[in-house]
Amino acid sequence: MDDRTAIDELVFIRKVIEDSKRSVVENGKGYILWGILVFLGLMSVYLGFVFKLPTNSPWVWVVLIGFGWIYTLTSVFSKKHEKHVRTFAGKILNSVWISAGLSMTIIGFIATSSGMINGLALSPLMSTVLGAAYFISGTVYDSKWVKLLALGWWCGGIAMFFIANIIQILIMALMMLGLQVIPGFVFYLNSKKEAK
Amino acid sequence: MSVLITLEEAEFNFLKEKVNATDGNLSVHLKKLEEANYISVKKEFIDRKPKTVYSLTKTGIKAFELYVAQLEKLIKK
Repeated sequence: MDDRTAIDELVFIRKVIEDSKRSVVENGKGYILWGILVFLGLMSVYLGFVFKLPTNSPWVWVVLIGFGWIYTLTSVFSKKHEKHVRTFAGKILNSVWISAGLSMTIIGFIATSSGMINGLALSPLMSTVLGAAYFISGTVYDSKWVKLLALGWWCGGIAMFFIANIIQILIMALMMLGLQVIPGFVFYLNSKKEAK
Repeated sequence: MSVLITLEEAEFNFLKEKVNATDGNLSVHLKKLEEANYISVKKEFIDRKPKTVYSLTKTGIKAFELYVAQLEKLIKK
């Protein structure tokens, strides 16, 4: 084998590897669904507090988060049978988001009901956990804008630690739309483009 | 091998699409790789449809890495 053929072979291998890496395309549906569910939960707390409505109930969260988990677990289970390919990166991302989701569920339900964590500490804590999950995702996707979302969550988390009133809930709800639902739509549109 | 190196496992149809090969041609190549113990094959039925899934073995990964290292060595000479 001469130099030229060796270079061509390496270029071909590189191209195939890069192409296969793109198989790790997030469809964004989970981001959108979870973003909307948490946004609805936060708005129910905010509106309940401001307008003295009966929406500020832990049962709203039980229903919303329960629905989110049912969707997540059924889609993870059915994807195993549907997908033509399974990637190491996809496996890491699934683990990151399931572990981040579980951590937030434990903090949200167990830590607050035990009284160990004040309800006002919830949003900044969730924001910090989300920052970590987004940062790892950004590294796996090799995407700068996903890493910037992590920065957004962390900065928001730091700010919310100093806002101990109902405005904090509104900020978290807006962050959920801007840093979770909208990126979810970007993932969704990108996955549609890749599929074509 | 280049396709499988980045993946945990892949179905026959996915590989066919990626390497742009015919069923017969790809089957022959995969058979040879399987005989060399470079890839492992898992066959299963999902909703009564057969599904064949391929993944690289440790021997296959080592062989691929050695091949790429040799190519790089050749260029550096």
